[in-house]
Amino acid sequence: MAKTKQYCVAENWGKGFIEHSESSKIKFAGYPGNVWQVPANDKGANLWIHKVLGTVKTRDEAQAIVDAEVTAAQTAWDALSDEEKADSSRPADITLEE
Amino acid sequence: MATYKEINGTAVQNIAGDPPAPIEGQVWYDSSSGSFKAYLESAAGAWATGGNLNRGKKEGRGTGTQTAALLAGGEPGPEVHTESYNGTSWTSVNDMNQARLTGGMAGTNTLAIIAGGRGPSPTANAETWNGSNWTEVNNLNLARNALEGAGTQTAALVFGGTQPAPNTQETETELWNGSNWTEVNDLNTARAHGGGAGATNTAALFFGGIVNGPNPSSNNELWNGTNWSTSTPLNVARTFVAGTGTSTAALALGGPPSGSTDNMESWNGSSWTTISSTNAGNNGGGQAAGSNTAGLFFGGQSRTTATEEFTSPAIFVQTITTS
Repeated sequence: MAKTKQYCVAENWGKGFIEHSESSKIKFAGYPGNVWQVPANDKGANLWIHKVLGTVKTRDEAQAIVDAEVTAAQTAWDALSDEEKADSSRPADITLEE
Repeated sequence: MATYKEINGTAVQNIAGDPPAPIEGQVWYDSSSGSFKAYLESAAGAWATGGNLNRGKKEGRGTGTQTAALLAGGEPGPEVHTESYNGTSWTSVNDMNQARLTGGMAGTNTLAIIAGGRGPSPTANAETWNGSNWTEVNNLNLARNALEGAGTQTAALVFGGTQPAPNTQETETELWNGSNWTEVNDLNTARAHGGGAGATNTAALFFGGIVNGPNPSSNNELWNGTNWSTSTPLNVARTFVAGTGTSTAALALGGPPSGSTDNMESWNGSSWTTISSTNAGNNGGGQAAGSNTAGLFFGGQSRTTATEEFTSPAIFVQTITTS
């Protein structure tokens, strides 16, 4: 089955990184570790990856980056006091789509 | 095949660049870039990245507009750190006197008030912001954190919150007259970590949050200046919601338990509608400012520095491509 998503790593520099005109046309999803999911086989998405100088990753490579970030965040949350834990939720595991 | 002129009665304009004042639906040829362009509208609205925070934050508090916002406190910490947004970039400004997260905040980025929060214990401390400095003012009657705020620097309302014991939520509501806090009628449902909205202390909205222990809530209550009444609930029950806007036009942004970026809703005074997802996934614990047509969402889960600007309807120049 043809993949419907593709992944890249790109640092969000702020204003202009994703424009209204891009998010209206492309479904973006940002994940920990500067991992970005955009549609596969999509000209607009490919142009955006080129614009942001994104490094294309396979789904498994992207998953490994996200897992490392989530594990670190979960470890930090587990070390909080009960009072501190009440002020935030434990970072949830993330499974990237194929 | 029919030509564009035969269909529309006019030819496509040839312009070097973009027209100075395009109208919705207009198509032109940009000879500078060698591409056809259109001026389109997205009724559902759209998110674009804004300037990044200088420090990654969650559970701070935000107020102001999409182009003039203020962020005070938050995690990691609790922090005294404050940043101001000008529509393009965030600038660190003078610190609060009391380190805190999850205080109740109201006002603008030049005239604001923050009260309560955890720093590190629940505090009754309150401070006002004059655009340059924070000044301590009279304390709340009840120390608590994870409360919300509405109104202005001189006429504010704070509501809900939690006490030291985890999962003990409050119905407490307090009114600020510019000098003192006065206890007024309680919420119907005790909640903390919800989202708040309201431009005055006589018309406010409190939605979502934690209720009955650790449970996410879809509860929504409306303040009329005297009493809270139950109103149409959120479509998705959730905690750590960021709220902004007024009692008749608000945004409820982010929040677990779904862990997705899909928990974005807009309030029109009578019902909630799901709107476009954010791009960067700055979900639970983010901060918000602005209105339900020009909103700002910043910080959040993973202490991200990401800022996103919501515009509805979104009108933009789109390059026409084939795919």
